[in-house]
Amino acid sequence: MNMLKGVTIGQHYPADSMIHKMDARFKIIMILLYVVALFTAAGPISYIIMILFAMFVIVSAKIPYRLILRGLRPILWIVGFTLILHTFSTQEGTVIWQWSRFSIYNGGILRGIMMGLRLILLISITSLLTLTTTPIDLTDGLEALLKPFKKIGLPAHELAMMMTIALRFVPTLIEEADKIIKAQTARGADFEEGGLIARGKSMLPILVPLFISAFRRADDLAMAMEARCYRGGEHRTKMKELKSSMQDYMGLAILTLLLILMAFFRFAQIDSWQALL
Amino acid sequence: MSIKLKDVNLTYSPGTPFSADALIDVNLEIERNQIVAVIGHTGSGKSTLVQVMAGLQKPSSGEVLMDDFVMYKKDTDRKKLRRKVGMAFQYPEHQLFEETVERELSFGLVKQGRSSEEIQEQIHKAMHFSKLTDDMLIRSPFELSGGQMRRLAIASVIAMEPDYLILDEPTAGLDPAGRDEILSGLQAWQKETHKTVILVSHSMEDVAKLADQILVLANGRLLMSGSTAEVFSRSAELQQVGLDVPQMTALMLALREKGWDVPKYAMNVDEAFLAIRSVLRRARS
Amino acid sequence: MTSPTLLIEIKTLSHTFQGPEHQEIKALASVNLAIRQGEFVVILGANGSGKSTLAKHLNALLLPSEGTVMIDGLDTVDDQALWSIRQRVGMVFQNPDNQIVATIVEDDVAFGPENLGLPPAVIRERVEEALAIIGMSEYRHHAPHLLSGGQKQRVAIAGIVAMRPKVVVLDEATAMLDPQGRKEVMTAIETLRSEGMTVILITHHMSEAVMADRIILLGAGRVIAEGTPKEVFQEREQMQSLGLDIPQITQLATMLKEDGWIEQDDILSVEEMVKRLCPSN
Repeated sequence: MNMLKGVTIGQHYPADSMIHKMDARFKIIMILLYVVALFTAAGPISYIIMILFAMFVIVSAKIPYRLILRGLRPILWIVGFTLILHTFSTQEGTVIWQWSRFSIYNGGILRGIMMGLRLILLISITSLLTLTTTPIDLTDGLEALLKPFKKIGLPAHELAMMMTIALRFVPTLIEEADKIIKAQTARGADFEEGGLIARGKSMLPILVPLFISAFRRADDLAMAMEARCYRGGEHRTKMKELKSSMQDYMGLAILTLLLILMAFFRFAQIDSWQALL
Repeated sequence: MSIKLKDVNLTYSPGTPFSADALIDVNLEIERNQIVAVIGHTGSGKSTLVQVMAGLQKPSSGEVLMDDFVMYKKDTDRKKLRRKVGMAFQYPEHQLFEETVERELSFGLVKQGRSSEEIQEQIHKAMHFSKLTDDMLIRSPFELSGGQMRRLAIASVIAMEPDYLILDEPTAGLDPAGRDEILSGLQAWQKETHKTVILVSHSMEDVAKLADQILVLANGRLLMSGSTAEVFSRSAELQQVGLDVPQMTALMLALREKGWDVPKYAMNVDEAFLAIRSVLRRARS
Repeated sequence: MTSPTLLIEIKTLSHTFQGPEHQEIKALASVNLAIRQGEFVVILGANGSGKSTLAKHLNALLLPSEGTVMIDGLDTVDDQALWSIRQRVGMVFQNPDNQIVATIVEDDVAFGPENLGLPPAVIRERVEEALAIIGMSEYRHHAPHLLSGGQKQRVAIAGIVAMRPKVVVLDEATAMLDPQGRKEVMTAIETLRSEGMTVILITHHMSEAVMADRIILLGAGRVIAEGTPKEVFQEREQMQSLGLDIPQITQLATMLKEDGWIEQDDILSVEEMVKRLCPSN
């Protein structure tokens, strides 16, 4: 439960910033562009540009650094692991340290750092999306972006509705799980004893009630939604409409330029990690 | 032999902007062989308090003792603890999960490692007090009606025969008939086993009917602790912290304001009737 | 003076469904009911009396096995009228959590109007209005899971009010609330009534039923009695046989009457009893 409090993906941080005000559809596309640019980036200069860009966005979004750092804490061990993995397995460049069978190449360290940085930037930027966009704007944005795919049978509205409802009920279900765990513990249920199979079975007193409750909620909710005249996405309007503005198009243009720049640096071989070896 | 809380404090999420004091400087003692009611306004800490007593919520500071057995220490024998105290949460029917009623009832007993004869004995005892019939044993808990499921959930805790039985609003959401069944069953169980029943309740009428001792919580603190008559006669204080008094007591107080010589407190309709009648008789003569 | 409009007209309504062992269960048998504009009607009954089944016929969540249910002149079996009926009869359910769909309060209140296809500016107006009427305006940006039960129900009520229905039905909407939550909901109901709304409350709580204009007493799927609270609570044995409480104060009144100390035992509150016992003061 306490671990969940540290996760910033999914949480919203209200603030009055330009980023907050941007259209969710554009933000989603911009994140995608950033991610592609990140994977295209091929050298130290590119990475520095990507890092600076991320920092610039965080500052403009008026998000306190500690929030981003807190969101990174759960994945720090993955980053560390990645670093160590690449350090010891990659055999590029020159050897800088050797001990019996183990050798560390400077290329390995470089690659480890690069992979670690990628992860950090990935998580930071994604957190930024949810921190600056309310859940309903996010799902509205996704719905709008997926609408063209309705023609090939993608239920865009239903997917968006599912996401909204899931986001709405996650905290409620967590609370309920907590209560169920306590109640079963009070009856002597033990979740820490035994081998894998025993532990799996010991989850039944929690999972069965939780699932039953979830189904009941779904039933009740469907009835309540129907009672409020819900009948799918047709002819439905929205109180909060997504309105694009100059800033959104500018943001899109900047991200596109960033991607082009990264691609250029890579394919024109202007910037590459090899240069450091 | 009692439950003792010494200087118990509990703060949720300490040191963060979300920190909340749930319990502040709570000192109390609950003796054996009685029914104790815990009352308080919404958010006063009742649920937290009973969870602390049940060994399910560790306090931030202070000591919790059950029959001189210290809870919440590193070396606390958890299995021993589970035999002493049982707890049913609000809407306990939401925790049912077994395939049959029989398995649901035996769950806790199996975990305690009891023999099958003992288990059968305990199950049948519990079913007697919860008014569940033998034909239900092979059925799925989810086939039962809402009221039956509630009684089943409570029975599964009673079957473990804890020395201290704690229930958080056992009659929440039930209609009058359902509430009666549960409360009369608990009363009968307590009378026969001489164990201690602690229940959180919002119904002042239920509390007046059943409780020997009442604990009143307000804003995380223990405001009052005493017999039913003692606590309900302090109605002004109760009303100040957002609590109602039982209807009959409210009537007694209103009549006293008009100068009537009636007691400050009436536990039920009969007591109120007798008090009013004696005044009217005296007025007639 | 013309009598208020007949909003709900139920004639010989029966509802039968299949039980778990494939037996036929008659949840409602030949129910007749008429509800007029502006009334505050309480449908009183123990569990199993059919009251929730009856409630669900009011907005066509259930359709009659026999008989008819007419809402503002529209027949519930009429497919085309379904959504008009549901806009006219708003319903608040028992579980506070399982009605809230959105992640913040104002978005949930907007859900109904959005379904009605109203223009965004109008929806915004309705949401503000509804929140103000119910007194939850300051919570508009709050997440629902952080609210109390009573507050959640008030959000649900606001969501219905935003659809501007003619009738608000509360199906045991206070059953899962603590006394404070119940008070909040009852206050919201009083506010609705002061705005002229027709309210139907389904409950088994006496303290709520005493405020009704009219009580409809259900037992085993039938209308057992109908009348003002005083009239209905007179029939003690009837109430008890149906598994319902009588307010303690009313029980006391009966005892005093039978012992010859008071004339009438139609007392529903402490204040009334005091007045009756101390007439001069």
